[in-house]
Amino acid sequence: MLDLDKIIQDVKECRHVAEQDVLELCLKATELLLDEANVQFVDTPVTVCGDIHGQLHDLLTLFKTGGECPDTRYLFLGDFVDRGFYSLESFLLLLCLKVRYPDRMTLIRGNHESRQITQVYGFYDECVRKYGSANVWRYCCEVFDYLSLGALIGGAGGVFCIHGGLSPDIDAINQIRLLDRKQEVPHEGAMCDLLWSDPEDVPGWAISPRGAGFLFGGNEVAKFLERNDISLIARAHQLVMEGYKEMFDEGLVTVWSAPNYCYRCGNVAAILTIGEDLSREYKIFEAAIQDATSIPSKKPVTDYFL
Amino acid sequence: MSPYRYRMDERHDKVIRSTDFDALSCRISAVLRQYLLDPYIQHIVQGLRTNLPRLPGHKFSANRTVKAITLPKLPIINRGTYIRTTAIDTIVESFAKNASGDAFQIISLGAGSDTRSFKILLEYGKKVVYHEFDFGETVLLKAATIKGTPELASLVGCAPSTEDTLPTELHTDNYHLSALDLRTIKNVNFAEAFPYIDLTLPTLILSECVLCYMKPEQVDEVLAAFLKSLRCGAVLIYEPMGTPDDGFSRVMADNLSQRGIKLPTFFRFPDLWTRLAYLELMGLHSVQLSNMAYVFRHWVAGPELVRLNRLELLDEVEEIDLLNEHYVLALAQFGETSWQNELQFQVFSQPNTAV
Ligand SMILES: C[S@@+](CC[C@H](N)C(=O)[O-])C[C@H]1O[C@@H](n2cnc3c(N)ncnc32)[C@H](O)[C@@H]1O
Ligand SMILES: [Mn+2]
Repeated sequence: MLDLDKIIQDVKECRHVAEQDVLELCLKATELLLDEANVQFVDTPVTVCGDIHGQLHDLLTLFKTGGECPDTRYLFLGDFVDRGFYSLESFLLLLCLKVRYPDRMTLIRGNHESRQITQVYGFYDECVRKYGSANVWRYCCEVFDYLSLGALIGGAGGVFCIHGGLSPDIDAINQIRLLDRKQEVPHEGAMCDLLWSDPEDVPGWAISPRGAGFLFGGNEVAKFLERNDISLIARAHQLVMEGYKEMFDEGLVTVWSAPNYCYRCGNVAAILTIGEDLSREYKIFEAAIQDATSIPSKKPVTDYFL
Repeated sequence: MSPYRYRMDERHDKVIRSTDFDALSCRISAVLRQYLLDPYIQHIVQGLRTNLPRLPGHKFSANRTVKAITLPKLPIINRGTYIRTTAIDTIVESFAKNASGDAFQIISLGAGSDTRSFKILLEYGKKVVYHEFDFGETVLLKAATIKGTPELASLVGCAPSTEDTLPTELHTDNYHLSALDLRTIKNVNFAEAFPYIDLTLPTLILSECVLCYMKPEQVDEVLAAFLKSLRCGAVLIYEPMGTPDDGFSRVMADNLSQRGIKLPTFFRFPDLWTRLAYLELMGLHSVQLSNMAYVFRHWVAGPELVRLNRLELLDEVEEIDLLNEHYVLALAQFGETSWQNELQFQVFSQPNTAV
């Protein structure tokens, strides 16, 4: 039997979790996720969180800032893994909470929850380093394929949540429900765009410098809000030095929850609580003090140009 | 000097010398990923494999060092390396073109394992004299690599050879690789200390992440020494640039100092305008300055940009701008020059050819 409380404790202290336990946890999580819709309904009040990127110590600060789960209901907008030193622990912690308190924790998919991207940005290497094989990475990638693509908070006039943004192929949230999401994130098309796109001051649509997804402008956001009877698009995906940024007459917000991103950017992080009356309350938090022991001595990459 | 202080300085010098391997490592990755074309870099790596174990104190670590150098980098680093290298190439090309067939000189300070000299020698042959300076140990390695690699030996114009003892320097008609601690420059008689430098040729002085490791007064001394001895030319500086009251800068200085790297001039100038004023004060004119994010946006376009965007998915779009905003590209001229480049810069002073 899986002892979730013990795993939660272990993970929080960065202790090794047995491969078999990871497998079981992933299978349990998959079972739950299988039943979730492409766009999952979430009740208010709920606290919306942006990218985590393996910064486990900051994730713990996030829970201190927003309240522990299950006391607080959470929605994470994806990009749990890659870049930081504790992608596995961060993802396992979120999965444990998901399995333990399914109604108090919603996880949707970010563009980093993908086999291809995790092989470039660190999660794959981290798993191989910690387990000597890619098995654990493979189990996690299976879970990624089942994550919902988006969420809808509140009823009419509510909040649409997505990792990246809009797609020129999607006018109505109902169209997202028709996608077959149980696959690796494709290189193009609606599913790719939802996870990769960015808002920008452009008329209509423009090419994204990321090589995937699109840039979408204020008029596209206005049309989308109107057509779907919602008041806000909450998304993550882009570093914001101040932790969050509202755009387009407050019709869209970027929430970023990885403080001092990559242990380099010097930014603060934010979470957004959507109240029962759909009010918005932002909370800011800073990076956990990194003592020398919390950053592994084998830093994987050169961070600067020397 | 206390013995403790001495050991600290020694250690710091070692760390500073090691930054050459960081720069090299970034270029290797960018070449592997096809951001850059560099037919010579493989020889440098091969040369390290052969010669690094021959250096005292490196016998057992050499293998590991070379392996670490050849690990691939993240897209953000590849892109930043691309723009750093191509921006400097562009300026060097423009300077060389302006010489329009007349001889010119390039002096690369702290050249490290840079391969630009080979490219320029291939392209301009007898028209160019290329000088590279660095610490003795770095020079030793590079000289041995060049001599031991027929293609490189023939490019610089020396006979290929492998000797039992590592060569200390390398001098041919058009290429000079010399050991020098730049911080000692104020005590030397320029003409005597640098017999191979032609004081009359138009000269481009390069500092690609080099002066940034020196104290402000040492930077002043290096610039002053060259500027008062050479007739005319230009100085090109690429280096990290902090901005006050900015989280990224603070974390950058912190992170680097944890690796033992001090950047004494990182916060010397609050903005590009004060940097411009400083360069003018040093006797330079026609100063042109940009941060590297600006350079990327304005110098890379069309099919080349399309090509770059296809190389890798880049998930670090805000981050790369942030990182590049903390690097400066500075170009400034001295003496009587007629070089009016068409390059777009963020901040510039009026050209002044009547000195
Ligand atoms: C970051 S590396 C850059 C190498 C090369 N310019 C490039 O961009 O690829 C810095 C180089 O400057 C050299 N350097 C730093 N301080 C120096 C000094 N005082 N005298 C001579 N060389 C120095 C180091 O040895 C090292 O090779
Ligand atoms: Mn993302």
